[in-house]
Amino acid sequence: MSFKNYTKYIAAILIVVIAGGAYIALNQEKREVVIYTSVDQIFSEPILDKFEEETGINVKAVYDVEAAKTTGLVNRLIAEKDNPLCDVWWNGEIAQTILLKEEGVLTPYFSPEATGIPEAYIDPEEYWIGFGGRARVCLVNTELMNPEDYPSSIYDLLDEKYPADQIAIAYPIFGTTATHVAALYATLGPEEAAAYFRALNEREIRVVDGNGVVRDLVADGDILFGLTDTDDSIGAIERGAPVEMVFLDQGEEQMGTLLIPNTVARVKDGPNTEEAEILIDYLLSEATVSELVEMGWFQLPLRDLEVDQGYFDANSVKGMDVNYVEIYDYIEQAKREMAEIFVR
Amino acid sequence: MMGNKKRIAAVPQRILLFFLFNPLIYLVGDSLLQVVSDPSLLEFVLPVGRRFDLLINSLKLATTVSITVTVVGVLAGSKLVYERGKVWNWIKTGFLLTAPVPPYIHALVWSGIVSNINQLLKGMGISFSGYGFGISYLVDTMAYLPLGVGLAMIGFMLVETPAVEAARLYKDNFRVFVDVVLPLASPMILAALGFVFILVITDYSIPTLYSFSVYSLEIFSEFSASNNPAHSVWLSIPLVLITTLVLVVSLRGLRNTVQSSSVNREESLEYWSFPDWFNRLQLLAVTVIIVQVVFLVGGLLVETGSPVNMYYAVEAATDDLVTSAIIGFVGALLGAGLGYVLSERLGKSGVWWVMISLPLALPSTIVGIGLIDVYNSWIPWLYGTMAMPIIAVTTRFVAIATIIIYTQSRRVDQLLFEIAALLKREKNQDLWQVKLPLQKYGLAAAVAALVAFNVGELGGTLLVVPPGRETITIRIFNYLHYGGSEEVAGLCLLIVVLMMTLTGIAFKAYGGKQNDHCRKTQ
Repeated sequence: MSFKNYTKYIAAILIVVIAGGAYIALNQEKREVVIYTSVDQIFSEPILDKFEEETGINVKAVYDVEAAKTTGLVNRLIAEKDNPLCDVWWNGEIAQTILLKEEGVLTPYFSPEATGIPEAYIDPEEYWIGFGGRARVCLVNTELMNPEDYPSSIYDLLDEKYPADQIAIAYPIFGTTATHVAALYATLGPEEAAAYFRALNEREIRVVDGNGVVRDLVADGDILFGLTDTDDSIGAIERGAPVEMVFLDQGEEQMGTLLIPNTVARVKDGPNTEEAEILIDYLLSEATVSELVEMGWFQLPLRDLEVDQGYFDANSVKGMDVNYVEIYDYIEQAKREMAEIFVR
Repeated sequence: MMGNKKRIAAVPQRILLFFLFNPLIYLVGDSLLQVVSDPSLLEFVLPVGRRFDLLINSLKLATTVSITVTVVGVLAGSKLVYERGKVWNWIKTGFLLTAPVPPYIHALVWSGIVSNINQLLKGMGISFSGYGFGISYLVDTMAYLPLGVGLAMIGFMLVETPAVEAARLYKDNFRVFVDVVLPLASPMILAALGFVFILVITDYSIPTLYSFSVYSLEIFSEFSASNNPAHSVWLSIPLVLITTLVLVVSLRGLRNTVQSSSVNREESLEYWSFPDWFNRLQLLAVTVIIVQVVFLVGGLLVETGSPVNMYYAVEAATDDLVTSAIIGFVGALLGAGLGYVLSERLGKSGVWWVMISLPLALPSTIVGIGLIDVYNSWIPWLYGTMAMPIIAVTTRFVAIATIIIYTQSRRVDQLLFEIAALLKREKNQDLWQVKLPLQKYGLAAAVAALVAFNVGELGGTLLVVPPGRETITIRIFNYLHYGGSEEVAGLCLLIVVLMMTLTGIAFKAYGGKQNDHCRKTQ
């Protein structure tokens, strides 16, 4: 092949190189921050867009999906640990954030915006900060059930008066349901908690793909009730489904329901330190928390804020008295035992 | 000298194969190292007790779905491929264009249909179960029908006309179909059976949606509990073995079906006269696929509600569409190219069968982790770029391209390739002038299949997509979780419409060239 024949290839390569160089040069000046988030995109994207508008800092986000069953971005962060692309981790729950701390993925940062958040929601070593969140809830179909028949405790799921095929939970090996199981391990002890779930499995209640599926089954009237999260439940209420949220185990002697805070943390050796801290401050600010409450992502602001989500009185919900690190300690054992019980 | 030259020429191929397989080699190597320090990991390999039951569930689902898809594929494919006329063309095109719709969307539509039917039957005290084996079987079958019918049609299209015409002189049409056409089309039909079996046995998302526990869920849940990919690699050994076995068995006999290659050979095979009972079965199969299209597209239209909903869904997802298109098409071209290289190796060594089975049998997340481990540490300049999701989809689905190309290439007289290699005057002259033209249908089918699979890929893409980029599938799954079925339906419809437009342009371009060629030869 003569040189003439090569010229078109050389020209094509040059064009690509010049275009690439120009693109890099044009983008070099712009400040940016990379965030990985497991928070539903429908809620997190508008917040990040607003941050971009207000600060001029370009946000590059990667959103997790429910279908990846919380193994998606967490494992990406662990695998990227030695050469991270990410600056900020915004998690819709807490156990996986503690895992990231244990894996050495995070670095301490205490935001001035965290003042006012109770100590229980802040890592003692300041690796992560909890800020606003959700709760585990029982969603009931109001067309199929009368209020006096609503369940009031997780133990009601074992009550024969409710047909087993009319009750659903999500697979307890993934997501917030797995965290809920680990919380029960921590509160009741592993033996009692495992026995409870064994009894649920023997009853043959419906075990479905995710909290969203539980919500849809209740909303469509396919089942009487199911365990899910408050944000999923509010989605159904907003669409006009005949459903109501019932918080379980709220009596004086009872354990309360699990509260699941969002967590935010800075990634160790992330490429944009200053921008990461600005973004964390922004997310933790009262204005953002209030906005997330109004959007329906947060139902519990977890600090004194003049904001009302309009669905229930957040202050009246009794949370489980349990340490989140203890929950994390039980996660692996709980997931393994739940797989033994339910995946068969 | 010739040996050295050949070795040098093979260097770019080897580099490409290294890029493709090094994450898998790394994962296997890491798993072996871990087992040396902890031999108890080997316990994961044997599917005993509960795991045995899960494997049986997986085999039951994969076997029934793949057989159903193949039978419907043969019956409907043999009808569609020989029929002419606008209506039939609409059925063919409409049906095949549903291939890129991810199985999860089929699940969304069919769950809604079953729920509505149950509401109607409520008064009569009858209901269809919305969970368990039955609905998993229905949804998987509907999701993989386009692949089964599409590959069966290609199989029939490539049947050698003179052989069939000769047979028709001596035997009735039905006997010719059974004794000549089916055996000649069988490689592609068996490849379809193998693909569908493998895709079903390795997927946990559909059966899990309907509370039907399968072995692949066990692999994934172990990964979720331990965050250690080595556990999943050892657990997936039974699936790797089954996958390899199915691939080898389903593609056995390819050497016995050597044919030459020509264009539009099926045209002279029109006007088949089959027994009534067979015609009815064919029409029943065509009805099944019409039901699939009508229910899927109709369900999506009803769910979308109004053009305004679709407009908003598309407006929010414009960048994602561009990203998906880049990953889909560049990945398909790369995958087909590598598939071509690998297809030449398949006949030489059994190791390659295992190598191409591995990324299909492993959960996509594990493949993604392998990619991060290797590229982020060793090739960081490539990591964080658009090359990564393209490599991810190529790694995951190159097996599909390889098998389609291998299947078709084994049906071409190998003597032609040998003569071309012997008589070529320039380097690669045989490749451009003989090999590729004779294998263009296989390559085109591989590209089409890869575009569909690449666009729908989720687990691997999610782990390596560059920050700030997102695919349409990731957005669809996000909407699904939120319960935004209007947006989901709108985006799925958009994918179908875009695929229709692209296919239309391709047909137009190809048709134009054919006409030019005809005019020139006249």
